[in-house]
Parts: sequence; C-alpha cells; structure tokens
Amino acid sequence: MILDQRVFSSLDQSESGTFNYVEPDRFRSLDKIVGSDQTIIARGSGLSYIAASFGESTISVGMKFFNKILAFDGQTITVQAGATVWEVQKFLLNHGKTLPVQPGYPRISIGGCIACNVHGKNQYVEGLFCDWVTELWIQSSEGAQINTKKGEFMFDCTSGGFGLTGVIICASIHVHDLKGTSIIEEHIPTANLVETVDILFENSEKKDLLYSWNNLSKPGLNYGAGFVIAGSYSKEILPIHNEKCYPLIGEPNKYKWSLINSLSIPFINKIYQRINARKKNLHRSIYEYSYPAANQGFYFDLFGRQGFFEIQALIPRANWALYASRLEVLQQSYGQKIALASIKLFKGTRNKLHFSGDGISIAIDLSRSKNSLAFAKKLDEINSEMGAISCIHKDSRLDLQTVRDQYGKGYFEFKDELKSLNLKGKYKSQLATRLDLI
Amino acid sequence: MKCLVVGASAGLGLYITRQLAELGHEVFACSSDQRDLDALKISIELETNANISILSIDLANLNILKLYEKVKSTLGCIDALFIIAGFSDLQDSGQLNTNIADKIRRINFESPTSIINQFLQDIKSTSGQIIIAGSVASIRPRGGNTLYGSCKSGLEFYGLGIQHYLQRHSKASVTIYRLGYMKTNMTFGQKLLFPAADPNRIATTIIKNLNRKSGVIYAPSWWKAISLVVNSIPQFIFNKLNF
Repeated sequence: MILDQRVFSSLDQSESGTFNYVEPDRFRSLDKIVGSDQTIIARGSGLSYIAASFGESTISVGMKFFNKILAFDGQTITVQAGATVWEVQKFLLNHGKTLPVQPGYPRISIGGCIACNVHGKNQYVEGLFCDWVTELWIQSSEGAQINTKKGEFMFDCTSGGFGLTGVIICASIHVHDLKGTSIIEEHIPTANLVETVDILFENSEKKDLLYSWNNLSKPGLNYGAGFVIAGSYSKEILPIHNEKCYPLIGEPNKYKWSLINSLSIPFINKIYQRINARKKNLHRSIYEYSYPAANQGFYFDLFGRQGFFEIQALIPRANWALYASRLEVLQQSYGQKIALASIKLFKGTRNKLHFSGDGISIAIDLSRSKNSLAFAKKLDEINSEMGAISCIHKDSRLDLQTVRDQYGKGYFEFKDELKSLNLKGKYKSQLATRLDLI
Repeated sequence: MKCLVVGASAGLGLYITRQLAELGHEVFACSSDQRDLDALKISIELETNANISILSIDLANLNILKLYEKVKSTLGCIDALFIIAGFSDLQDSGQLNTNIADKIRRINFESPTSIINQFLQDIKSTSGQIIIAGSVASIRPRGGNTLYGSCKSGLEFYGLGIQHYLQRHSKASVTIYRLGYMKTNMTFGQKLLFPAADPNRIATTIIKNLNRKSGVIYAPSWWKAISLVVNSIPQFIFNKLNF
C-alpha cells in the first residue's frame, strides 16, 4: 500500500500536521486498506472545523473517488459517501428534487454530513441530515459491505459517529420535492438577542429559510442588534450560472496575518449591518441560498494562520434571556470582540453526541488568541451551567471534561456503543483521541 | 460509435468511458472488479441517457474469446477500441518477483495485443480506430520501470505495425498516446520529476482527437520536448543518471 504524506489542518487552523494518506480509486484498493491492520479514518472533503479525518498514527483514507450516484427512484437517492452535497444536489435539481438538509458549503462530502449529522439553515423545520438517511453501507475489514438500516444498532452508531464505526461507502437518502426554484429573502432588523429569537419564532412555521446575523462585536448599546434572514421559496427560475466556490482546503492557511482582529471586527460588523439590515426582496438562486459560504470562504482565510474557533451552543429556550445577558457581561469583562454571530432555532431530542435538541443555537466566531481562549473557557462553564450543549464538530477546543459535563450520559452511551462494536481501535482520529472515545 | 474500453473503472479509462457516454456513443466497459463496473454503469446511466454494457475481465488471466463473444453479441462490430488499462509496480527495477513480472507483462503487453488481434477484423470492417494508452516510460530504456517501459514500448511497436497494416487494407487507424504522469493511483505518493496531468483533461484530448489524429501523440504535448532532451543525452552520461 503506497502512502503519501500530506499536510492537513482543521478548518479553524487549531490542529495541523503531516499525516499518512491514501486515496483508493477502486474497491480492491479500499479492501486492502480497510482489511489491513492499520488504524485508519475516512476523509471526505477534509473541511471539518475539527480534526475529524486525521490523527497521529492513523492513515486518512480519501474517499473522493467514491463519488457516484448509484440509484434514484424519485423518492430516495443512493450515493457513494465521497460525493459532495452539490454533486448530489445538482443531479436532484434536474429531477425537481432536493436534499432536505444541506450544510452551507457545497463541497462537503455526504460521508462528512453523516459522520457529523450536520444541520442546515432551518433545522427547526428540516431536522438533521441523518433524519433523512434511510440506509448505510459500511466497508468491513473482511472486504464485504455491511448494510444497515435506520433503527438498527450499527446505523444509529454510525449516524453522527464521526467516522469511528467504519468507512461509509454509500448511503440512501430520502429526498424532498423542490418547493421552488429560487428563494426570495428579506432581512428583518432586530434590536437585540432576545428580540431576534422572538422574531425567529414568529416566522418559524412560515419561512423556508430562517436564521439571524447579530452584531456582537462589542457589548453596550445595541448589543446583539442585527437582522433575521427569512426566505420563502419562489417559482421564479434563476439560473444557476454561478457555481463558483471559494476553494477551501483542509491545509494550513496560506495567509500569515489575521485581518479579522479586535480593531477590524467592530468596523466590519458595523458596515455589514448597515448594508444588509433592511434588505428586502432579494432573489437568490438555489445555489446561493443553499450555500451562503460558497463565495465567502475567504472569510476563514482572513483569520490568518492563528486561525479562529467557533463556539456553537444549543441553549434551552427558557434560559435564553438570561444566557444573552450573561454572554454580554462575560464579553465585557474580557473585552472580547466576537467576529460573527448567528442564531437558529432548533427542534428535536438530545441524542448521544449529536448537536440536537430543543432550543436556541447560537454560533459565534472568535479570532484565536490567549484572551479569546480564556473567554471561551468561561463560556463553556456558562454553557454547562445553563443546560446547553456545544457543537462538537465545530469546536476544536472542547475538552473531554466539558463534553462530559454537557452531554452527560450521551457521551458515555456513545463511548459504550463504540466499545461494544469491538473494532479494536481500528478507526481513530485526533477528535477521538481528544475526547477519549477509543 | 460503438466503443470498447479496456480499463474503464478508474483513472483515465473512467473519464474516457464517461465522456464517450455523454457524447451518446455506445460503450462496452471492462475492468477487473465487478463492483467498480456496477457503480460506473449505474452512475453513468443515471446521469446521461446512455446505456453502458460491462464485463469484468482479468487482464492477468484473460479469456479473450469470452470477451469477444460478449462484445460481439452486445454491440456487434465495434468502431473504436480503447486499450487504457495498465499496471506498474515500484519494485520494477532490475530483477523482479516472478509473479509481479508475469502480471506486468500480461496486463501491459500480452493481453492488450491479444485484444487488438481479436478485434482487428471488426475494426478493419468498420474503418474504426484503435486507441492505445502508451507511456513516456517507453521514451528510452532505463533502470526504473524497466519491464513496464519495455512492455509499453512493445505495445507501441505492435500498434504501429498494425497501423502500417491497416493503412494498406482499410481506412481504420491506430493512435498511440505516450502518456506522461497523470494524477492516478499509478503516481500516487511518488515524488515525480514533472507535474502530473489531470486524467479528465487527457481524456478530453483523446476524445477530441478521435477521427482526426493517428500515430504517436504525447499527452500532455510538452512531453515531446522532454522526450527530445532525454533521447539526446549520450549513453555514457545517461548510464550515470538514477531514475
């Protein structure tokens, strides 16, 4: 087996290094790798915020050549795990269908979506990615494919299992009818975080696209003001003429310096808010509204090599007002500037280490520094106290204790499940090591 | 056009198969692993309106008559034969393990010549084309990739001989591509002297040249300049080079 040495980095630049990598382009090669006695982890697009697809003494198995669509009957699509969401979506659009849940960047792999059980832009209505997956095929070390259906033990372990149960070969996903061929978007100004959530709830059953942008660049007057982005499907056909995508790569940032820092953050946020807060009647193509990060991927590069981190927390609704004020106080005490903040409504039940449940999801991005790390650590404590969970697949800093505190029995349930599969540490990543899952 | 692609499930062969299907040609695709072929067939048929036929064959142990009968019963006389499959091994330098040596010979020379020989009459009758994936390894004999290079060189020699024959008997043609490094499993993980090309782009070049060009073509074309340089090195200097 020929290994290559590749430099990988988590998207937030917190973890990087040179790792062993293979890229099978046929089943025979995949059989060899999975059947060997080497520790491996599947790697889709390699764009995870965290080190989910590489690790010490682990061979990353690139799945990009396993990207074929294998079946489609109008209701369900079966596709290999290395295909990207856009590759699948493009096919579906030609048949008047759509994936029910999509992450905001088009080149994320289907396998990655399953491994992290990602959410889209309106989780309250759409649910999570794996809610719509009906069947999985996982490569076994004996060379066969394990077929597992929703509700079965292996399926449940693998959904949101961070690739630690095996290499997903393909998945069957239930698709939805396309309700429109474009979206009409409006921005509803909000005065603060509490009002933002009220407006989100008012629109939760009416809108197809719903999330917010909030200015948390500094505490004080108008803290948390911003706008809710609400969209509805339209029958107007907008050509998908722009499939351009800023190329994110899972490697160390080529730009050394950070342009997003404590000086620029308030300025950038103010301008952004001023330009966007009251926009109405914006016509977005399916590509544009499905993948808001497609053309804005340069945002991640602007953090430079020091990188950033994203804390996304799911807070019970009853605690939201208190949480918002505690966040402001904390930010004030640390003098911390928050580069980006976005809120979404969530609905569902807690499940092992999935980012799921009922409540308010707030995602904040911070430029990495000693101060911001200290601020984040304090915020972890607040999150734990207020019954919130932090999104594991977004935040490289989350330590074992915090995850245990927040996820409670969910953590141990998942760990026990992995143990019961008796995989003998075959699948491992930096994430698994950090969270002591293997 | 009715096309037989040998080595269709990965790398250059996969892209050629896909592009031929997208252009509306009838394609019969062969490779060694049925799983790869099944996935290829379904995905192409779903994404285009093509109808692909497939057959799993092992070039290291080829049943040529079975292949011929299957293709003939499915497509009839073919118009184009693509010999794309290849196999190399990093140990191919000087003395080789016997099994690996046999495999290199069979996959890169014996089976391809056997296939060309079997389908020659059909190609002749349809004034069709034979497209052979050669290699820049045949530019000049060297210590690295010794057996692979000589097999590709032999295949090229055979192809040119067939071309000479065909030109006196029909309008059929033979095109041999001396392929440079491509981003496929053959070059994966290796430190290459020159950049590796995108096999999808090479496939596009090959398809574009159908019915237009014959003879030996370098792909990418800049390998011709490298070939001239390599061939101009005096042997006593070449003997001292390690590659």
